[in-house]
Amino acid sequence: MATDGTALIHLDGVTKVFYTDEIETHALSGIHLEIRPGEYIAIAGPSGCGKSTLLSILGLLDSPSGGEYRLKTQPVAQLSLSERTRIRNREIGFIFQAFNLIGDLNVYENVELPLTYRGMSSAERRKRVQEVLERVGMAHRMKHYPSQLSGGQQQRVAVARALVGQPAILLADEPTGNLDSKNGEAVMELLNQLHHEGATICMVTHDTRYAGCAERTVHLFDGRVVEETAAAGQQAVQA
Amino acid sequence: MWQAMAQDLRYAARTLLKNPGFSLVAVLMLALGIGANTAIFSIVNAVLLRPLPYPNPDRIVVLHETSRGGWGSVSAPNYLDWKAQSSSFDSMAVYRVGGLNLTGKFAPQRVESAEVSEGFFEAFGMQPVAGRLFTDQEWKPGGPDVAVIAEGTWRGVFGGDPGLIGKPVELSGVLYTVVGVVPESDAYPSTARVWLPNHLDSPFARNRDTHFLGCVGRLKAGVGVEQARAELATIAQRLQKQYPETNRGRGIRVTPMLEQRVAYIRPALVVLLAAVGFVLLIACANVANLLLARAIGRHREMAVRAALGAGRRRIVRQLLTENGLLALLGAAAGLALAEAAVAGLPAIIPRGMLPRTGGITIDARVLAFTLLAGTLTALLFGLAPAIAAARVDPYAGMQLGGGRATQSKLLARMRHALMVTEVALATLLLVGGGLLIRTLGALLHVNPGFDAAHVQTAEIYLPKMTPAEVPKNLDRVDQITARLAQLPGAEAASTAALLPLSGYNINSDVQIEGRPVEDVTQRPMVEMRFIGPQFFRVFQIPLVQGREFEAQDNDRSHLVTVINRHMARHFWGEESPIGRHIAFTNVNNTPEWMEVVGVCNDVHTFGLGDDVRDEAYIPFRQQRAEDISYLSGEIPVEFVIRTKGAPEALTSAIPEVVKAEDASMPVSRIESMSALLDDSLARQRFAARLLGAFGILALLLAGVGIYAVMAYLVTERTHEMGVRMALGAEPGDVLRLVLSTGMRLALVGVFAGLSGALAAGRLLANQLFGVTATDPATFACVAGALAMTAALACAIPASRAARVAPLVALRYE
Ligand SMILES: Nc1ncnc2c1ncn2[C@@H]1O[C@H](COP(=O)(O)OP(=O)(O)OP(=O)(O)O)[C@@H](O)[C@H]1O
Ligand SMILES: [Mg+2]
Repeated sequence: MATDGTALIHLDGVTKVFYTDEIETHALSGIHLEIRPGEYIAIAGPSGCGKSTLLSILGLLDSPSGGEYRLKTQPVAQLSLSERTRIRNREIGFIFQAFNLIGDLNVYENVELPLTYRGMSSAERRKRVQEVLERVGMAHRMKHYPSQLSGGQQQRVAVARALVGQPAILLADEPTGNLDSKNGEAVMELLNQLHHEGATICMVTHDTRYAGCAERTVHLFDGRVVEETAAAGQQAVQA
Repeated sequence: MWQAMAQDLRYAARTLLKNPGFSLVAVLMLALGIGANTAIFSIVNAVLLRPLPYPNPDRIVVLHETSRGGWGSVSAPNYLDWKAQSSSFDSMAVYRVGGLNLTGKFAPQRVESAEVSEGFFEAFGMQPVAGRLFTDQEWKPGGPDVAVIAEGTWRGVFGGDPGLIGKPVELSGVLYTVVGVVPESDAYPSTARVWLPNHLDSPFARNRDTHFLGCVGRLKAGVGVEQARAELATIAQRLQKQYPETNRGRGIRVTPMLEQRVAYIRPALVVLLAAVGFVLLIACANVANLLLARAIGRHREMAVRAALGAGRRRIVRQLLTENGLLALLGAAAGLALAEAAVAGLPAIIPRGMLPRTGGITIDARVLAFTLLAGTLTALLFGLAPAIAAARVDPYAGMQLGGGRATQSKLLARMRHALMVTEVALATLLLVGGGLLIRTLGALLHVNPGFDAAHVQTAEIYLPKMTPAEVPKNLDRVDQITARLAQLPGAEAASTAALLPLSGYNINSDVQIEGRPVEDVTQRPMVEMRFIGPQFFRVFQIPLVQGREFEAQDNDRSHLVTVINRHMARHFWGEESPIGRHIAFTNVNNTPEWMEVVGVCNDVHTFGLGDDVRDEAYIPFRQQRAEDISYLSGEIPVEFVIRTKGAPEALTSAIPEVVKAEDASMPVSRIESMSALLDDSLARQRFAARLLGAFGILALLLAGVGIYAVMAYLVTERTHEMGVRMALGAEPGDVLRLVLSTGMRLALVGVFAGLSGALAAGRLLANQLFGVTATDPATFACVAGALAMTAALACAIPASRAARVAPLVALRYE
């Protein structure tokens, strides 16, 4: 594993402990992970092993209980709440399993949403939204509401929303979990294409077929990295 | 069927018990709404709806003479002609109210009396509870002095002694034989306690142009009011031709008695009832919102039930049972609140404000109203949730997609519509309350034209007397006045026939020196105020020109008058009226000329909100002895005393002074002038307080409603807030989002309410003074108050939304 300064994301001995009703849950224990720009990695593992927890820490949605996390060489532990918000908005694009489009907003407005939190001119926003919607093939549905779209279409819009801010990394949690296999494949195809265009992607999945799309798969078990498999074409070996 | 209902009921009770917080809040809100409505309706019922306590009460009518667009008392010759020429009536009678001093082996007391003409008791259908009514012999002029008394007086003063019948009692120095007792509840006029036969044989009763009698009649069975009106209209025309001097332009007004007594108060009561109805509507909207919020939680339950085979009708019935139970509980609690309110009402309703306050109780009709209100309430607040429930799709509960979204969207839209409605209603109510409060404020700022502080007043009625006895009695009044002026703490004392703001007045047509004498029916009317020397000093009414009255202005000197500025300007413009003459016509139709010796500042005699009229002050001792003799029981003598300190300090000394002069003379009222001034605003104060209170209640309820809707919105959209935060929204962005959603809805409601207030303004217009129904300041204040309430109500849910962790975005809904 390279530890030079070119890593986009650098995790060192990260742990996460949840306390509920005086029960400690060690969701993550001593995670080391590096993600380089342009990399496409998958995180796999059985249910409850800590995949989503890891992703939430990567996305600055949550803070680790211990260890160090550097994003673009900057330690994030000292960041204030609003600095974290700013980084989430500019450096990170989220794709959720349940799409999480906002029902009261139409396709255009949903995609525009992250840009509205940055104080960007509306003309600039329009240009970017149009561009990104064309990229995911949803430009013709701009005025539609999420309830009027199929699941696959909703997820394509969600991908557009993640891309529109030109983030440093796309984080996806089970992006195909709510889709049938045909739509799931289409979304994976889209991510592949984005990867080829240079996007950095970190995707949580338990579907080994889709994990295979990534250059590298990190296998988690009980909060620990138990195995890393690399390179396209190679099959992951379950721990 | 019954079994199913019992099961529904059991289940409904269990559901309510499962959410004790929800149930308590809902029942409490309904109880407030229904209770307030029941209490107000009990007033409306007692005043407007309950029939008069006489047999066939709709056949009883009141008759008035009309002239110059107004209506008023009746002259005896006209009445006699109506009675003789009409065929619509079983009986018709006139009466004259007055007061008598009842003396005996007890402290002298004043009782209200009525001198009634033959047919009076028949008009009402009154029956004696002891003794009898007057006989033909007693109705005839020159008949014996007899009296009928009210049951309350009989029991209270004479211990209900049956031996009193046939015995004499002393009334204002004359012995009358009591022949019968009538129930107090039948009393007409309602304050009368003694009835004497009126023989219509005084000079006043022979004058066709002296209008001083009340007139009542009982229609024949089957004769409608319209028919009687038509007949009397013909008679009036005949009399106009026959007596053009006095009757030109005079008509006859026939009004059902209940209508006559309650018409003036109806608009105020209707406004109150509407206001309190709005409060109930707001409570309904709140409960509906709570139910809708709960409906989301129960949506899956309902869907599962539907999937398990419960018919749509069954589900709706289940909801209706729950709503019915809620409404029933609310109505029961509301009834308890109303009981308490009704018990407290007499204390807060200013005396004399309502025409019949006696019977404000919760009777069968009020109960029926409460039940109806409860049922309507259940339908109203249950409507939106029932619509929502009826749309339940048995499969929607199992799915995660679109069905659920549209369902919750529909519910959200309903909740928002309810919130807008209640804000609009609260706005409307607050505008109404605000306008009435501003009216009261404006009235309180009116300068009455006199200084009410430091004036004590005491009222007596002179005994019955012949014109020859008048000077002796007026000497006594002067004696008492002189002694009152000597009391420690007194600065000056005077007398008056009627006090400003008393609600009573005497007026007459006037002739002006140097102007052509017009026909009586065309002459201007001027108010007459009889006062003693020092009156202007006691009330601190500035004289603009000329002089005040002095002790020498009496029946031996030439007649003088002081007129108010309004009258001076009216008749003489910029010229000085001093030294000019005016004349009122006496009972023998001869003008009595009097010299204008002074002009005083205008006084709001009729009410702080009423216009000043032409007024002529006349020396108390220059009144005609015949007039005083005739009016002694009807028009009081008021002593007015200017005090150095608090007027109340003289309260106990005044009866002593009167007693020392005449032990048989009761003082019927002692009250400071500022208290009387306050009394004159009682109606406005009551309306302002009640409507203001309803407005504030509405504001609170609306605040709770907004809070509930916004809190629910935040709960429902927590996940969305999390997503927004994950995408880079700052807590402030989310706070603003919630606030602006809530405020937008609230402002739509405020706007709708203000538009409604603009439209409904004319309902209130005739109760306003010094402020228009569209007063911008009131509208702005109300809008501000609601905006602030809405902001407060939104603030808590909004700040909760701002604390949502972005992490929830990752959670699967
Ligand atoms: N907020 C929390 N409080 C307490 N425990 C939590 C919390 N979030 C996650 N956990 C626990 O941490 C562990 C890891 O959870 P996580 O959601 O990361 O699993 P996952 O790998 O994403 O599972 P899945 O494949 O089912 O989504 C689990 O045992 C879970 O119960
Ligand atoms: Mg997960």
